Amino acid sequence: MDILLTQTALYLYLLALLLMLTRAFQPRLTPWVPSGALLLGALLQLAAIILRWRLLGWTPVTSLYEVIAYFCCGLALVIFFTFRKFDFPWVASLALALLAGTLSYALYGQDTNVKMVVPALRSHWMAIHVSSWCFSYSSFSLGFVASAALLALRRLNLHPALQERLSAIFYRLVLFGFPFHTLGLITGAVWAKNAWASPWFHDAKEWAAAITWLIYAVYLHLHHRENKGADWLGILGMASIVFAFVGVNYIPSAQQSAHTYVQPGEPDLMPLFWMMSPFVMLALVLWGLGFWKNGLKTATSTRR
Amino acid sequence: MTFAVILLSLLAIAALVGVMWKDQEAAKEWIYHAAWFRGIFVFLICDLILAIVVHAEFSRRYAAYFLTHAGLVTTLVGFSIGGLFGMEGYLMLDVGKHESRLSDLNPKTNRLQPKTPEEKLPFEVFLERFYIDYYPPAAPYLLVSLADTKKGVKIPLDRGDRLRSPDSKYKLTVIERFASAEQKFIVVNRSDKARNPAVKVRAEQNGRLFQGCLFAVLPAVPVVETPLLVMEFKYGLDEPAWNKQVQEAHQSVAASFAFTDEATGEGNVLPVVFNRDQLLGKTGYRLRMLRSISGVNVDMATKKTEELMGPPVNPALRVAIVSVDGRKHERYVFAQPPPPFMERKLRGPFEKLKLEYHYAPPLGRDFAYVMLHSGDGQRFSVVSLLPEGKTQTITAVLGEEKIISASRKRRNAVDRNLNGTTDENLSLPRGLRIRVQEFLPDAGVDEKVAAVPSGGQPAIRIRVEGVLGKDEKWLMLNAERGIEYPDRNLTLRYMQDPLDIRQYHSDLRLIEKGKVEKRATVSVNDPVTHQKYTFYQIDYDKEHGQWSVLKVVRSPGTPVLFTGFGMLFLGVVGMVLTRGQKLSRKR
Repeated sequence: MDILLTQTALYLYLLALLLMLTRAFQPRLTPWVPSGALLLGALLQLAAIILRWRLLGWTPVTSLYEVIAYFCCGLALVIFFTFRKFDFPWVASLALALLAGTLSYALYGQDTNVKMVVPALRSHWMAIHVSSWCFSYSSFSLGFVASAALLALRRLNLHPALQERLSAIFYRLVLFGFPFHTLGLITGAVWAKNAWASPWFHDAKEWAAAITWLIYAVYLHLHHRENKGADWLGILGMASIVFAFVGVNYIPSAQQSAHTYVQPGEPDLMPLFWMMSPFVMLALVLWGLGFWKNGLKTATSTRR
Repeated sequence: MTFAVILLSLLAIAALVGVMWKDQEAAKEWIYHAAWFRGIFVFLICDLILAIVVHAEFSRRYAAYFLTHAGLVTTLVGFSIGGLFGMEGYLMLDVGKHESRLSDLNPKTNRLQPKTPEEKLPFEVFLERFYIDYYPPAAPYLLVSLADTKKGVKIPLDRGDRLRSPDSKYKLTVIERFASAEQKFIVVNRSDKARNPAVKVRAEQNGRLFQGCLFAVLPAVPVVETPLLVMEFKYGLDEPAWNKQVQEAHQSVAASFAFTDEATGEGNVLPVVFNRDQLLGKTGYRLRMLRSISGVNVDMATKKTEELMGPPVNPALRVAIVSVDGRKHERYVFAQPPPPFMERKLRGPFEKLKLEYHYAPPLGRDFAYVMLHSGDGQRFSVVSLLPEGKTQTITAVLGEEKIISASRKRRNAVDRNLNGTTDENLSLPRGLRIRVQEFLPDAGVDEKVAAVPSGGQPAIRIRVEGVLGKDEKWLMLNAERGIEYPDRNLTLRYMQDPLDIRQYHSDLRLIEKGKVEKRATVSVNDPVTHQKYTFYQIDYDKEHGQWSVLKVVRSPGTPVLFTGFGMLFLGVVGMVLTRGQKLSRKR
């Protein structure tokens, strides 16, 4: 039943994406139409999570499918509230595409079976820990979309007013996500102390999460100094999130990690490469755009 | 601020190198535990303190700023105190034995070795018992798989639900319900006109169905017995006698141990207490109960016995007996005794000493001991041992279904996914019809599959019908072979997943100068602290459950660390709430 609800939520997100694009082209469409579909999807997903919670008797964050579904529900809510506040259909469309893609991956690429909670996961700290991650990652993900759009506009020297707005949105989203990320790190350490006697094991996953925290801490410091280069950290931060969330399972050190469940043998680096390649491509495209625009300007000025 | 940004970036880059390093032990040596890496933290602490001082002022923004930065410093100091003054080690404990020596984990071999120089706890730790909690068994399911695509679907066998078909073209029907993790009983029929009144009862337990007649006079009770449910029918008792029966039933749910000296005829009942010498009346024997096990496996080739853990098969106690003349003997006492000649063999040198073990399931586990009584012929009373260790009495009315332990959560067996592939594209032969024809909770195979009184396996008779023909077969639960549909591609099997582990527990006694200071149970995520030492459940004997490994930690930095965590979180939240405000800077 919960799977059916999640699938329905996915279709609603796709509908919201369609409506959001319509809103981008046709501003006469009231913002409540796309955001209504989005909210309905998020509520359905919330109901699915509650159903699964009851079925499992525990917070449903015990498998990758459940964690991604939890994250997607958080992301949908963050998109909804940010869209209601800032009304930016283009960025919301991109974020919805990211949301639909991620949820499809969870629904159709992951094991959706209910799994019994293993003893180590039977801690209330785990529920707070994972929920914190989900909210921070949702917020950072939307921030990533805003920062990517902002960088593209900046490289093309278009819409300075919109650039200002996107920069403000990105900052607010990081500001919202950062306390949750901090809480995630803290509760993770408290849980580890309770379950395995030590709050920090120098584990690959732990450090990957800490790197994300460091990146956003650096961003907040640089933004405070009005350093425009800080917006690049939105892309770096998102790459770090994907790495900490999924990518860390595919690195050679994953076999020694307590947080990843990999089969013995040589890990395959190709999935990691594929996971990281969109971010590298995006960065290259953004650089390329700047070069093209600036090159064009230089050529024009020379001719004059 | 620039310096802080440089330091944070350096940390991130160094950590990334550490994360990507294949050999994590080398990463610890060259990065995380290296002086240069710690040096960055020292600089960071200095920079944070400097930032706190430079921006000092009376404002809400500064309060948040202070908490964030001072919280980070406190956290790092807390980690350092733990690293400098803390202690950690491992205790390898055998069931029924003391230990105080600590061991170290060799990261290369991943094995425990005694610490050098020897390190001991200031008290002894005695492992009274180690045990595992299991989740209730999952519902059985029908496994439909295709050989060519290696895909399959699990179809749960639940009543009421129309079976979820992998394709809407196929109809799947269940005739009888037999998948439930709840214990239920229903009094179906009663006869009190005959000379031997009887009731017909049906009990469902962990997905298995047991039914039969209970007679008041003959044959000897109990007639219907499930692994966890014993039913007796007492007819025509008056109120006091009935109350007495209920009282006795309450008492009977506790484990007990009986001895009889056949030479003198002396006998009595003993409580089940481990690792304490008990005198067997005036017989002169002393008995010590060493441990309880769920069964014994005997390797017929080597004649070696292997003790079993997990759900009780034939629960037993391992006991040591010492006679007056100092002769010693260790033996098992089974809840279901072996045949008389074997039982005599077990007695060893003490041929006249008969020992009996009345098994009651352990408290707080998934098992309950239940007795059914009848008072005046209208009421049926069930006395059960609840998971929390309390006993309760439920009165049932004729024909009404009662759930004895309703708190158990039913596990679902969702379809989808077999061997990592989803069933979304599973395409079964066209027009295939699968129908469960019959179910036997206790079936055995002689010449053909037939119901047996007890000790059998659940079985279903299943019919498959399609364009390639039809087939009908009995499928035994978890049997290797299933129905191979005429094309040999489609296979049907009747399956139930093994029990999942819920929790591990070690019952400890902490002994100082021969006196038990504390009794405690250590479980995963539930450590126990004694005299600044905290014990964590880390590992256990996966085969026989005869040893348990605890991690012992003394970490004086923990209060500082947790204070730092609290300050840091409050500070970060404060920074968000006071956004837009600026701090002054003193030079």
